[in-house]
Amino acid sequence: MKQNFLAAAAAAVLSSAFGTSSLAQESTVDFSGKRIEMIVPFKAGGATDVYGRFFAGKLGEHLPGNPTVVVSNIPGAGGMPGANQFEARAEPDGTALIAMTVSTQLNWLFEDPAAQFDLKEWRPLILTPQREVALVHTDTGASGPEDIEALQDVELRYADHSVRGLSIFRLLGFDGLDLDVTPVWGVSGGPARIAMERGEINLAFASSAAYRKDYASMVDSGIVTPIFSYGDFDADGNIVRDPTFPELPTYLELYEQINGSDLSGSERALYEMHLQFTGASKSLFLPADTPDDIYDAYVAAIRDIIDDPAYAEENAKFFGEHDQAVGDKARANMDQALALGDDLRGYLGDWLKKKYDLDL
Amino acid sequence: MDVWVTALDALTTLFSPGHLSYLLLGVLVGLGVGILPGLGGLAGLSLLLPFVYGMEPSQALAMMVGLLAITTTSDTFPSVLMGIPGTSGSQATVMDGFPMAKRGEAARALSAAFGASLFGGVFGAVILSIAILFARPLILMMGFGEQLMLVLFALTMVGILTGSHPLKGLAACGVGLVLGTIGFATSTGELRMALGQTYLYDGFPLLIIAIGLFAIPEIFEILGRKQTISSSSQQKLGHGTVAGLRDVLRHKWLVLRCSGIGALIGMLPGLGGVVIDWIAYGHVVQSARDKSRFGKGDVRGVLAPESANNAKEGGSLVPTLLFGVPGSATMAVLLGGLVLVGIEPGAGMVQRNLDLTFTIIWSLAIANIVGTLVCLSLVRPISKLTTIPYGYIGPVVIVIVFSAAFQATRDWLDLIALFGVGVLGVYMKRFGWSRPALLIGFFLSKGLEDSVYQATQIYGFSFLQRPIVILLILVIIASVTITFVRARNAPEPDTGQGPATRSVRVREMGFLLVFAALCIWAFFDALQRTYLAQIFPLGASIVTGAILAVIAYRFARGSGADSIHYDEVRTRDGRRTVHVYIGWLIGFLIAVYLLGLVLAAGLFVLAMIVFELRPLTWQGVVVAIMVSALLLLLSHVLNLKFPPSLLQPLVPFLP
Repeated sequence: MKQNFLAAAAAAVLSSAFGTSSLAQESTVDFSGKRIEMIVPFKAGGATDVYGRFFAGKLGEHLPGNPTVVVSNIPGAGGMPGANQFEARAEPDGTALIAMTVSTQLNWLFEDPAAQFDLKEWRPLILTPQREVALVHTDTGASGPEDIEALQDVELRYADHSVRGLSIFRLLGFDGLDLDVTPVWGVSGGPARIAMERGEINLAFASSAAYRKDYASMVDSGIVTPIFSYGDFDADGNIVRDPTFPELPTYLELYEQINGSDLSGSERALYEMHLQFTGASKSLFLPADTPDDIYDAYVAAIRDIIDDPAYAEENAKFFGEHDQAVGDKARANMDQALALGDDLRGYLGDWLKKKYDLDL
Repeated sequence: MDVWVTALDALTTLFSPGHLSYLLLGVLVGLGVGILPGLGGLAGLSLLLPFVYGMEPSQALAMMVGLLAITTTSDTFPSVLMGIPGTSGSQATVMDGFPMAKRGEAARALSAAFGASLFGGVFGAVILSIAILFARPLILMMGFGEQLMLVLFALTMVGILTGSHPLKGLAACGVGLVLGTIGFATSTGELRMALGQTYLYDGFPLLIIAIGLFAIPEIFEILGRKQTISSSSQQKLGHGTVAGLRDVLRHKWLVLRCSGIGALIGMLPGLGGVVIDWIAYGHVVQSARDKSRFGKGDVRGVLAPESANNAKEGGSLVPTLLFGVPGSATMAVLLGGLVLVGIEPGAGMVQRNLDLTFTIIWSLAIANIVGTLVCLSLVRPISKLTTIPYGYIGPVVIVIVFSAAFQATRDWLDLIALFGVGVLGVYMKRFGWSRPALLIGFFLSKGLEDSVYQATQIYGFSFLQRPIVILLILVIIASVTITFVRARNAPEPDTGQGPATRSVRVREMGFLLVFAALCIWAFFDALQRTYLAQIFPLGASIVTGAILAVIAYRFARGSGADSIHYDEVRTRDGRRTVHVYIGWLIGFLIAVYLLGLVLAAGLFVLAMIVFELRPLTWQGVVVAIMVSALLLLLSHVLNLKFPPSLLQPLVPFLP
């Protein structure tokens, strides 16, 4: 036990000292002839599945011993059965990993009784951000961030899959800007975008990928206009403008403009939590108690994949311009995202009940 | 002009050996999953996805579209030959196709279906190629109010599918609506009737309801009648292929209309693929002058759903390609496949990737043609299946259906739910409750509740003033009126049952109480929810409960000659009671739990063959071993999952 610990510590020191993957790959971890199962707790073809499969094939090439990585889809119930199965059955020997999405993490965070897994104990490998912007239909009379105060007099309709998810943070944010927002649940993704084009909803959010793919043309033709971004973290952890939308003010800037003071207290904490979760939009985890040498081998493989010039074009398309949190960074960000104490939970629950008569 | 050059380029590329072989591979896989009951395009695409990653985009597209195009054709085989829908989108074909097969006209029914499928499929591809240039405004006009009206329109089809009695049909539809409310309420995120099971969070999987209601009762019937499916002799069976194709020509306008219906409804948001075959079936029954033969083997009842069924693929590709919004669950997987090969579907894809768009269109057309030819060539040999002794068919199909059901969510409860729904279906069939009505109610329940909520949330009630909404309301009124008037003029159906005895009344009342209990449960569960989450289940359970009460009154007090009474057992002699087979299913599930599916399947097949066809022959042993071996192979080659068992941890090679 003690020796293991020492070896692991030494490996950790060495790998951090040299900072590259080559060393970790020479460790004793070897997956030759092994079959690694990646659980995707969503159906085949969905966004999380695509994310998982992006890594599945490449991990096989980059992990020591070139194992076969197969994807197993366990769909349904917001990813919880899949995550529960992973918790119950995955061996901490590197032969099982899971691809996660933010909504499943939030189910855990908000203590859904069906979430029978301990997310805090899992070992995050990589967190992939999907930073967001908010857009409004130009029917509202707004033509950009400068019209934010005019929007306060407009009935805004916002659509998303359900309140369980990042929506709760977004709605709280809208409230902070004194916007009058009616949520319409059960509409998300493509249908939400079409509803926006029809003007049936007039307030939407988009990840930078979705923006480029779906909304950019609508912005060009003057149907919708972006009003703010939720911002991004710079290397030192400061909140800055989203590099994809450098001309757009962040939520913080608009908040200050409207309220005359900086965002603070519980609302600030919840905003930063929101930002951490958009930073973990999609992610990969190893089971709890996975030994460090195996964890490090995975981290090294993932770094290789991200840095591999052979994938440069594919990666650029897949990851966009945001920094991927890998290894220790992933751990640190995850800890911040999951730090929802009783006070914050109480604040959020009370607000949701009062504002929308919904239970957390 | 450029468009045509691109179109021709795409066609020439497609005919290069590399592309053509992938297309054919897709067609081959699609043929297989279509024929196996319970597996459809969705399952097939999911199986292909792992291999798609990193493929050249146009080849991957050819393969995936090839697969999709053929499943809606090949799924006709089990629908017609066994009365078991091959995919969840092909139930309507069963209504008239299976009676034809029982009459010995399997080949005619199949070739008529394939002819209609071919026309529908190519028609869908043509519509697709036109629509991607012009359909954008049409889809944008279909807002939440319009989608609500589409759902209501689909619901009116229940009127012609009421089975032995209109009231019982309506009640069955109501039960479907109530069942559909199980799970998350969209409007508030509250859970309804989930019993603390994550399995029920998203409600019952449609696949389970569809194959449970239709497959299990038919298998029991095949077993119970102790005959081959077809009543006619071997020699006659292969004949009729030409007659079937002639049927297509004779009813060309019907096939054209239904292709149009399929393509249009596939294209519009709001309904999804599953009810299109029922809408087409409803259309042919509504518009036919002589409808006495429907349900007893009218070839028009085969032509209508099959043409619509294939045309919808082209239709539902329209929003998929134009907006990146899947037109159906299958298209959602196809979209995932597109992303995997590096294509970003969404606004502008048609302009950006016009070549790939044409690859899809051509693949759809060619796969339909090739697929139909392959299916036609298989009519003769596969029709012979209907002459195989029931003792082989029954157990093998049970194994296939349960293995397919497990792919719904890969939960043990899939198997339990299939068993439960299957038993429900068996008794619904026996007491003359319409299973299609329940299925349609179930499928439309969520769409109905959600679109009412969304439309009123966005518009209040002003959506009723939108022109297309008004138009659709008129269509709905017309549809209901036609059904109503025709039903009044139709002669009282003769169930051939004679006056109901006291024991019949007791038994049918007992079964009705199952439905009543469900309504009462739904009612009390809804009382605990907030307003938005309770209004729909309250309404559905109260109305359904009221209809059930009327039926119950007529069961108890009405005349014995009332056509509301029905008990199939009385008009079918020599049947062994279904309880025996329910017992077999329970035994099978226990064996799966102990030994795992692979071993349990072989043992179950062997035991049942011996039980039904004693003595034990070498053929029986071969069939049993083949079933086990095939399952083992599937699990290893395709990473197909099977239910966990007690034995599994001890025996490493078992999946």
